Amino acid sequence: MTDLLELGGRTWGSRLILGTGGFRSHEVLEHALVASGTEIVTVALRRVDPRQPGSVLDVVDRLGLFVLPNTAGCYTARDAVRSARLAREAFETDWIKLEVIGDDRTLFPEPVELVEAAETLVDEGFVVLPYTNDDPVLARRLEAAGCAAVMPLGSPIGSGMGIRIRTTSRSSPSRRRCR
Amino acid sequence: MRIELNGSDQEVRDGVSVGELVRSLVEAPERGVAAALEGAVVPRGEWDATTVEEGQRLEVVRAVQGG
Repeated sequence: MTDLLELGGRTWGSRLILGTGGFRSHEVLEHALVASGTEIVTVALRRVDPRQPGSVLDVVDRLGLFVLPNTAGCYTARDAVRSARLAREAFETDWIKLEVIGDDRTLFPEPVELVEAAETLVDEGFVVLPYTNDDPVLARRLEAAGCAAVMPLGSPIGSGMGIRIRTTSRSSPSRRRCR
Repeated sequence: MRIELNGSDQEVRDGVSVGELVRSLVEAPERGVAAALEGAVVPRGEWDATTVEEGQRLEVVRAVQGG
């Protein structure tokens, strides 16, 4: 692979970062991770359910993949920052996929809270990768805040619509710059 | 005494530690587990030395699929 991705001070052979939601079993997830060739996998944190055996980390660690925790399920900057701090303790990593949701039907990001959370987390030394809209102005704000890269949605989460934002994402000044 | 553990009201013994409560939920709290007392993260190395007081709120989270 010659087209390497530099992100967060590291070099990656795959440009694909895979989510873990929606898989019906850990076995199916494992097959998908192997088939994708990804090196980075994002996982969420939730309150412990003692009835739920096994952990998604069993799969990710077995495959030797890099864990990128996320703040899925957070609707405010305050909650997202708290979740990121828990993730740092749980996974011993400063990397965070920052998600602050503004609408529980579409799962579109909440841009004001997102920027606030990003600024706080960058100040605390996190490598921040925010899930964001296809908005180049917002992308610049996040870049200025010190985010390592932005992760604009390709289409509404879970919609299966493929990539629908080609025009605006191509106009983003941040599209090729990662830190 | 009563505390709030992961959103539910629980009766626990006086002087219980964060570590004991974490292990009551997760048999072997390996990587991917974290705890917050009154909203502040308790580092893993301080779990057993941190006592939970009456009425406090403890959250114990772990890695799950999602996001």
